[in-house]
Amino acid sequence: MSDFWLVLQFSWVPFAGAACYALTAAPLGAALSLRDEILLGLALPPVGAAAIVLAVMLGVDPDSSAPLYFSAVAAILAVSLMLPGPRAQGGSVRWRAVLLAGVFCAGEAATLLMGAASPRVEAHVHDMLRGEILAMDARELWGFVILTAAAIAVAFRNRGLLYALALDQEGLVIKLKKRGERGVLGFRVASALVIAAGVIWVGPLLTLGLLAVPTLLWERRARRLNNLMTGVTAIGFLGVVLGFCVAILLDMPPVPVVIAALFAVGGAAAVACCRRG
Amino acid sequence: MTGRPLLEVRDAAWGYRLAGGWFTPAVPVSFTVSSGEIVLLSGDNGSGKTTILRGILGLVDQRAGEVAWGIESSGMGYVPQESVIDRSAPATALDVVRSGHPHRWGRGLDGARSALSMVGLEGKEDVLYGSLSGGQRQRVLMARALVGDPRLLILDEPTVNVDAGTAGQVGRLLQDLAATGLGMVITSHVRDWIRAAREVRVTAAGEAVHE
Repeated sequence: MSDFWLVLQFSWVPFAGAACYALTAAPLGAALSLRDEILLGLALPPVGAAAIVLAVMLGVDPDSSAPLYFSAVAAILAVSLMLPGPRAQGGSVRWRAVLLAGVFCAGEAATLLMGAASPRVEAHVHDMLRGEILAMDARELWGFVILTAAAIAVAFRNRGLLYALALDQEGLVIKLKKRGERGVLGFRVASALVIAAGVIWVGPLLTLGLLAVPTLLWERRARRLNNLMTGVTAIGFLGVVLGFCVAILLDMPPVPVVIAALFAVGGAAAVACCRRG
Repeated sequence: MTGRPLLEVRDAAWGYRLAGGWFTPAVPVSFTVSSGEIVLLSGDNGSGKTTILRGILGLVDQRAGEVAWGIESSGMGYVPQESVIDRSAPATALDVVRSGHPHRWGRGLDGARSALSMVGLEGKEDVLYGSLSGGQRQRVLMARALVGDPRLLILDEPTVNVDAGTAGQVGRLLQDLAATGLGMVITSHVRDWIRAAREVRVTAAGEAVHE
């Protein structure tokens, strides 16, 4: 047990950063799922990763988070704005799924090719983009905590808009006209900010895990929209805390253990909900 | 009918841009809607009713004619087909109604309950939208449109997924709402479910149109 506290002294910053990240990623995943857009969580992180690799190739300092982060945000936002909207008419729902698969492949391939072309890049960002390390220092953590608190406050204040976007985007745009269109753009920007933060600080796999797994296990159990959002947030946060503790105790890589913990916590919550009727 | 019409459509047609030019499904239509009046855009499947409706809402390019609004856009409520909201979403009837006035989510609870009551769904507030019947889901969407106190309702095929009895109930509900002064434009491929409506027959492009 003393080893646990010793390791925690060295790893509490990424631990706290990932727990903090869960507070925004899990509810974003629920909103994306309601919009039939959860595959964006699969397709867009490789795009962000490719942008980070490109930025490092072009000379950006790999230890300088802000330029890398905004490179990823810009690439993710650009691609997400080019994609057709959710619940598109007729066959374009199917087309959208194929398109997202193509975006995933292109992003992964570009990341691998650029990494292979530059051993310096490979050495600096390979582990980070595989989610094998969680790249956050103490100074970044406090900024991250403040930004997370601000994001949660903005999302809570605009939760009606978020729910309306999630349930019926077209109805919202008809109702609010330009204001509704600005709401759609705001959602895209917020999604890009959150997904890019995940790519750079917890890795693409945990980003997708936090977007998808809490929603997968809780959406069918939730009884109202507020309950959906609080449930997935709690599952995401508790999954990260449990996963990190288990990873330290068993000396295992944190990301896969956190994902296993998300399934465990979400599954337990779903079973408890079933038993309560 | 008194004062300026809520909506006036004159020889208007809407269409979609295709690779070879424009596709305009319906011939131009003309009609006006005033307070308390129901206009029913009727026609066969594929005649272009939904294109006209979406054109009025600004979602399809206008190719001819004029559309004049006598109200602000905030005075218009839109009721889509009930299938527009995913039935597996964990949203209650109250959640869906409140989403009709998203900037007042925290303060709009009473208005949302009142709107549900207006459409005969009191007691269903906490029931999941997807577990309601087709007719009830349609009424939830009507309640959603009513929370902003609109003067004009635009409804897309409100009886498309309901049986004849439920369609009659929806028709009576809309007539009751019209009696309070609400104007309405409704598309439907059948006519007999609502009696107090003025019919505008929509026909596919190339055929005549009459009011």
